[in-house]
Amino acid sequence: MASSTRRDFFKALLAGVAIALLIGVALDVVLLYRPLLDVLSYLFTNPSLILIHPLFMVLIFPGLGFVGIVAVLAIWGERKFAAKVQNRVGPLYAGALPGGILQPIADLLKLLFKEIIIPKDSDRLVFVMAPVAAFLMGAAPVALVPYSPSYVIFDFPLSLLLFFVFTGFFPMVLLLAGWSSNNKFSFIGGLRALYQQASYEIPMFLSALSAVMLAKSFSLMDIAKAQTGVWFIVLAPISAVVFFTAVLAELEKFPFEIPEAESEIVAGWMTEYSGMTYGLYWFGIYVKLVAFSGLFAVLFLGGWNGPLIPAPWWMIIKVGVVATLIISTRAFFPRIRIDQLISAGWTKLIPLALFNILILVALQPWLVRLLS
Amino acid sequence: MDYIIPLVLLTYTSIMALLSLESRSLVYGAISLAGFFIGLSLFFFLLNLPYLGVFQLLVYVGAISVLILFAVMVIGEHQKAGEVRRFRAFGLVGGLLLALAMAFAGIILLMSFLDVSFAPLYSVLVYVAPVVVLITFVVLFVGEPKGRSHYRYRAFGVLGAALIFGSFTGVFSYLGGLNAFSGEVPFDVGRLADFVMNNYGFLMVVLGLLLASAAYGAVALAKKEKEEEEEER
Repeated sequence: MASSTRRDFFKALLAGVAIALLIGVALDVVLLYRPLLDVLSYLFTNPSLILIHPLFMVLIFPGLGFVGIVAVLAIWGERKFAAKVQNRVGPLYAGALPGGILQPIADLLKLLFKEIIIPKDSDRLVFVMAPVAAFLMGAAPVALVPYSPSYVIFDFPLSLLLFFVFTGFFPMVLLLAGWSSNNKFSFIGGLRALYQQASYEIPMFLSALSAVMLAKSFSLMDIAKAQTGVWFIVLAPISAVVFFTAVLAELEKFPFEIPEAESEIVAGWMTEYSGMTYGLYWFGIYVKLVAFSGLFAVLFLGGWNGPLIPAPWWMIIKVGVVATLIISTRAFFPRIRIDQLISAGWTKLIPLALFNILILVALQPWLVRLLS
Repeated sequence: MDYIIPLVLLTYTSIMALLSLESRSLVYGAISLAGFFIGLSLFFFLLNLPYLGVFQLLVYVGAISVLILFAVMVIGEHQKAGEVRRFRAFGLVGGLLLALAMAFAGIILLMSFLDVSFAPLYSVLVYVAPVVVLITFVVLFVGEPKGRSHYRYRAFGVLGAALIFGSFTGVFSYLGGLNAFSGEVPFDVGRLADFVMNNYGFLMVVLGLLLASAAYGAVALAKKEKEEEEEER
């Protein structure tokens, strides 16, 4: 009896997987029929055209493949670097490659096969949808960051604002995740995420505004193009520092790792999450790290501009440097309290960002000659 | 095929607006409100007004919905997440009327895209719909709110609101079809800034000062309250 029900269950499972696969393949064929045909035809005529095809951009270079690799490297690098600083070893061996560099992949496999536990008193719909929404909100801004004049997935005249739209949704998703878990630690973590947003978001807008003022455009492409001569970190250093601080708070990196303070409130808003729902949160956060490194590089470090080597490589190097700076804070800083962050955001970061904007306004005639 | 996207969007936006009014759980209502704002901003994108659409997203979804959600969660319902009840309020009548209203709005949209003149229909709608809504509200507030009849009145009101929404959306899509859909609209933040500052510069400054003083006033009020509390101690 038991074996027959089990067999039935597996039959149903197989049927479900087959139907899902069929629907997926049908959708893919409908959506990707023309682009795939284009790519296949280029393969035989002119292979170099594949490299600038939109499908290649979405799936491989500025899109999914590149971001995934950088995110995995960032997870590994964060653990390894913090371990070195604290005189530990860190991840040591996993698979054939040295240095435990495959450890994130092993973690991913483990999370994929773990059971997803949904608490009994939770709000099931929101509880399951929140990690998916968090991953989407983390991955969407990647499409807006230009890696060279041709390597951008979605070029839009207001791409900087759209970037902030996507990142502005994130704390709302976290609050919903914390609320739906029906756990006091999760709820406190969600509220902390929202308080944190209230403290860092305005300085972030204001400091990004100085780059907008210098380039006279909201488009990230135009902002990068305006820095062919001089990088904006030279002209607006205070804004760059304020923006970097705000990015640390946005990514919940170490001095501001307040919403998921593990020594205070277990794991914050993701206390009740397990298996791949937890994995989606982690991957979303690290994909957002890549997106914000790209944004910082475009706003203040000149984007793809640089001597000798071609455009996308400069951008890749800058993204790597900024991501390394962001994840290295884990080893150096203690966690501050939420009220300290709010008072720092409102009484120090906002005046500093406004101060730099005033300086730029005062230097306007000189800057016009410099940048033209 | 052009009308399919507006039709889907219209359905989505109307359903979200209705859910934000009708859902029993305040949190779900706030989420639906955010979804409604997103739908509205997508309409702006559809009408070739990306600036307005992005700001709708940034301000209404990114800030106002979050604040509403925050307020609901901090001071609002002391209801556990698991105790969310289903939307029984609507029932069959409301659903049927909603479907009718949606179909009506869809027909108006279709007519606008097929360049069929719908001016008589539109004028009838504009005169009839407010009367319907007015009667509904009078009945709602005068009548005894109990039993199934109450829900029927509510469904009636919902129908009126959907009629107004549908007719206005149809008209705006039609007007937008004359200008926005026809070609590329030049889009430039610098020109927009020039236009606003040259024509309405003084007003902008006054408005900015007003908003800033309002923000400072709010901060001052909050601050004063805390100081008084300390004095009381």
